[in-house]
Amino acid sequence: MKTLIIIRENAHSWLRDTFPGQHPLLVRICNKSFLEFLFDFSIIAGAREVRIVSDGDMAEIRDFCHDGGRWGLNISYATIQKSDTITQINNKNRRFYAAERIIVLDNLLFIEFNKNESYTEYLASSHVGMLLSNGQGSVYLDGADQQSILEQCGSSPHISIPELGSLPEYFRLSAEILRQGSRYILPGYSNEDGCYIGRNVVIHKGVEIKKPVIIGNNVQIMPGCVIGPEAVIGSTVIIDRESLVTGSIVMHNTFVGEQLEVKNKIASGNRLMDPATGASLQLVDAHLLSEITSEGTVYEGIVRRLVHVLAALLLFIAQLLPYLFLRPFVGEPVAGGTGHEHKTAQLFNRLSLDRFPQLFRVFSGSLRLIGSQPAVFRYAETEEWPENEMDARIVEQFCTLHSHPFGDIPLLLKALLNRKESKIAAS
Amino acid sequence: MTPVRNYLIDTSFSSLPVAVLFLNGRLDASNCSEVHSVFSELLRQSTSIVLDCTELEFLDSSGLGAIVSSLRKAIEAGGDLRLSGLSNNVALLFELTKAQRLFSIYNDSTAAVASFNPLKPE
Amino acid sequence: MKISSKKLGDYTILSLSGILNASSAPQLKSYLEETDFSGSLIIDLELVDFLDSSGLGILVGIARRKKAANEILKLANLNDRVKKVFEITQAYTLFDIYDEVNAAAE
Repeated sequence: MKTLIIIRENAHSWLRDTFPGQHPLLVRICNKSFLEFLFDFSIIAGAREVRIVSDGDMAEIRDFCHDGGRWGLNISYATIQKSDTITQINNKNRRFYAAERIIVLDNLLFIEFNKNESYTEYLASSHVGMLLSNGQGSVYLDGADQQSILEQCGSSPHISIPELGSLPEYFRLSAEILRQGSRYILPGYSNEDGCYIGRNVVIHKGVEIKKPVIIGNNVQIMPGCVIGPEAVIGSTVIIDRESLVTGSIVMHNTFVGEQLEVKNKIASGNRLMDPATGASLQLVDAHLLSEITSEGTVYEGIVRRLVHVLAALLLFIAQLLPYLFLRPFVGEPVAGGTGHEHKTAQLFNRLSLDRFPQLFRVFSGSLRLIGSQPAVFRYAETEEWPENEMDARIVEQFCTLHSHPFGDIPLLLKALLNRKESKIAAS
Repeated sequence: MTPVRNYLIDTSFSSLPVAVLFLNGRLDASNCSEVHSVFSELLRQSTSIVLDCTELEFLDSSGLGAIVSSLRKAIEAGGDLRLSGLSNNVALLFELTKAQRLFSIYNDSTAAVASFNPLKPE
Repeated sequence: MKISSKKLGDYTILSLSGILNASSAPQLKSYLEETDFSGSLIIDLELVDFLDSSGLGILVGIARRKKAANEILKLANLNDRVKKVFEITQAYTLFDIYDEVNAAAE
């Protein structure tokens, strides 16, 4: 038994709007990403080989899952086109299928199941075809029907796919998962039912915890707070003194100020949402509600800037005299070049003198010397083959991925030498 | 940008002129002092005040503070400050800070004004 | 880089082996220019360890020509490293990618 997870990029836009900057399947519910709950189901179903296919960007998923070793899974990836049907997806992943039964999770965020029940027999004995569908996504059984096992299974374990197309539905599902905590594997230590607490959680004196509650890692609950019932607190959260969090979700990386009341709401960073009314407020008062950010790496940015400024300086020195000499003969500087131009203008562009004035912006720090747009020279100009913007972007993504500050120098030289045929406009 | 559009005195209840102050746009740290001054002026004319927030798009803690202190002044003067037309978004701030417990809140200014009428049966 | 081709039903299978980069790309380019690859084409990349932006450029060029001629082009057997390059550069949107030649040739 194997699992195929189909992720369609244009689905779950409501989730992208509510929790921007995250892949929908990596959004957490009860402190565990949707994807991990699907992995749990896969394991319960007896499938340790998982293939994730998508018609969109999988970089974040890959970064999170890698090869699946963390969950004892073997995860592989493949791309599909937006227009591909289940049959075409089957064809494109034939080698993965390899004559086994495949549970296809198509465009699903969540499956309701019970870890204490048995699913292997049930799935092995069900017919190939649609098992469950809710209009948004489906559970589909593909591969071979094994005649010998069919019709042998009498049990019908609980399995369903909830409607999950809006924030109120997310809110409702979250509360349900927490209430029925024993059905799922929820993160955190629980020495009693209905109370899950993560690592490095400091609960100060005088704090009341009312079940059911789930708290993530690296959380501080200051004195006098009341948490719960039905509170989901993510990781890296601080709830300041005397505040109340009940019937609510406080997402990771959130600071909740003191003497506040978070009741039946969702707090995420500095955003407060009311699932009942659809209201959403971005708070500007950090002492009330704000995001807790982790320090990023500033180092690489500084080195790159330095390298670019130095290279621009060298280029400036090399180009200064030719520029002053040729500029009067050229009139208005023109980007790119066509055959109809005056010979001087051609030479002007060939030597990249049309970019000379932009060097000043590199010195002032407002422009990169070379990179994806905007930059004095685009990564796309290092290659001859790009014919349109899409091609240019392919090259730029490649260079950005493999780039590091010092690597920009050879790319710059490549771009300078490549000037004669560039069909791509500058910035 | 001024947060106060205008105000009017509603005299439909002859014995009790109710002042209605219309908030407009953003009320934040940069302009909440205006509310303080307009309000003090208004208190001289009536201690029954309705703050209509239908056109209020954004409120931060300074703006909320100005509204709460206005309530305090009204109560000290023997009157009351009531709110109307709170949008769902702005209401969130009141709920978070528990400020909604301090006020009587109505859907629209007419209802808020009517609430001051001592003859109105409950 | 080694290049070979064979027929499988209606499809021509072009098998590449080695690294497809700035030095090997011209070799592939001239091979394609010299041979007639009209009709349905599958490029088997099972033995391709890695490709860079020049290599991608050749494949994109083939895809474009095939599309203009209304002919089919499929890629097969990409290893994970090559898959990542296609994913991150978004080039995968231009290709139908299979994990097996036989399935592609149906």
